[in-house]
Amino acid sequence: MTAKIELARVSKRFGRKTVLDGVDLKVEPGESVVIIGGSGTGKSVTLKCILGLMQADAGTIRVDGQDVTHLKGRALAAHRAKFGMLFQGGALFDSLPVWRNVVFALTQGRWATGSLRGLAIDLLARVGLGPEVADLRPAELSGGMQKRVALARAIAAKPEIIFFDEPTTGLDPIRADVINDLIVELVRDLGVTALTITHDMASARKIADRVAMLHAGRIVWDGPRDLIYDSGNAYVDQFVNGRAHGPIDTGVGNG
Amino acid sequence: MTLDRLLSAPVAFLIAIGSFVVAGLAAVGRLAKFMGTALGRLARPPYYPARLFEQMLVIGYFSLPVVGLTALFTGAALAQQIFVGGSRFNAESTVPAVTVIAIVRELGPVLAGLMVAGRVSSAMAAELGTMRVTEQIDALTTLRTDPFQYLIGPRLIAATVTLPFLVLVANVIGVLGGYAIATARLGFNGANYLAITRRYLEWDDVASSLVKAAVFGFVVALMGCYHGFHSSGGAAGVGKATTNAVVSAFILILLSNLIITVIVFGS
Repeated sequence: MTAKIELARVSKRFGRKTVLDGVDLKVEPGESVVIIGGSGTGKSVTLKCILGLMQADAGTIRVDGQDVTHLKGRALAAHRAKFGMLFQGGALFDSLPVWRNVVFALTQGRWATGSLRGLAIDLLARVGLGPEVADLRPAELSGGMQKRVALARAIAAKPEIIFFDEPTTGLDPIRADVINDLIVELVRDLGVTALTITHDMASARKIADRVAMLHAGRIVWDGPRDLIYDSGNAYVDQFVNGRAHGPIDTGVGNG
Repeated sequence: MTLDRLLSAPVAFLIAIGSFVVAGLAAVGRLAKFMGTALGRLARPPYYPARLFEQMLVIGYFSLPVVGLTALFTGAALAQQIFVGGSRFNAESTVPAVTVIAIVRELGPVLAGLMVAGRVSSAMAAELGTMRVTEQIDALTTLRTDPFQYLIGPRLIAATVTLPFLVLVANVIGVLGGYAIATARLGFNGANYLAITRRYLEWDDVASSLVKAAVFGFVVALMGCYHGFHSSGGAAGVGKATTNAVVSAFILILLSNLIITVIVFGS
């Protein structure tokens, strides 16, 4: 079976700083993979390279077996149609009301008719929001509600793959768990492939089938979720247990 | 002091000049590429008429008060100064003719351009910059909407098309400002003032005014979009982009004004 997403020796640098240094990763169809790793280890860059928002300097990225590393123009747009993405801060368009945000993947900014408003309300219901939020502006919503709207927007065009960028950041533990439940439910019901990046271990444990740890631009460990507390990998141990001292250089003390 | 150290200071100086020049050329190249991409995608569908209309309203209609007031005050002050200056060689009667030529050829377009740059370049840079740092521009791209077509195209067209209308209004109000002070304080006859104004105004003056306005409008939107689109580094980055947008729009307006005045309408 071809992997849904396959990264082989993907590298990316910004000026003199190497962010990705040969990332290898496979995500099977229908699987939910979580990439964990500290801040600034290139998790977001990985997602952006797959989406073609950034170009990898070296290595290949395959989606459904097709090399998408250097796509341009229409081919790139067609490639992106497979994806939905939940951005870290929601990235809702604050000039548009909630419902136009939700169906943006379908209207692409063009004028939308009333039937799409109905679809938006259905999608909002799917993420646990009532029709009364449809005409509000994103700025009028709380952080948790913005995440839900962003989630509704990400699933609106029925993507095959959904990326979640730090889905629980900025939420209290209870609201974070609500989002986690929602992600698990959506991934299961829609039958999509999911790739999540997070440093929230509670979220990783809940969402993941498989966990990969990114450190210093490489995947240093990759295994089933149940093994993350028993990985035998010093980096993973330090990270999942949140210890300041260990092989990961924290830039403070002698760690 | 060794020869090495004696030489190193001038060499370091040359290196500093060199890297400054290279950085400058790189910036010009980036801007040219940005402009090329923006213009290249203007012609291609999809089009966003609703966005265009919205921008025309924001840039044109809502700039009317500030542009109108600027023109009114400047026209009045200008007439007063020409009167004072003209009286030194008994040429007070040149007030209407000189006022209308100065307003239409220079002050109307330049002042309207600068006021709109202050209002619009800054707002565009702040809006697009915030969209950049909150990943809204990435989200647009992911949702298969080209930010050049959706965000930048409508702004460029709206500013280029609207500014000539604003400048027409500014010209009329500027002349009226001169008329008001000339009839109220300087003893001019109203009908006579307007007759002289009409007699000395040539089609070339108006054409130069409108060409300038369109160029300034394009500059205003281009600087706002360029700096906003490329901003990075959170709130501070957006602030810097906003400042750079306004300062560069000001300088480019004054520079292109000089070029159009001297080269296109100078002979």
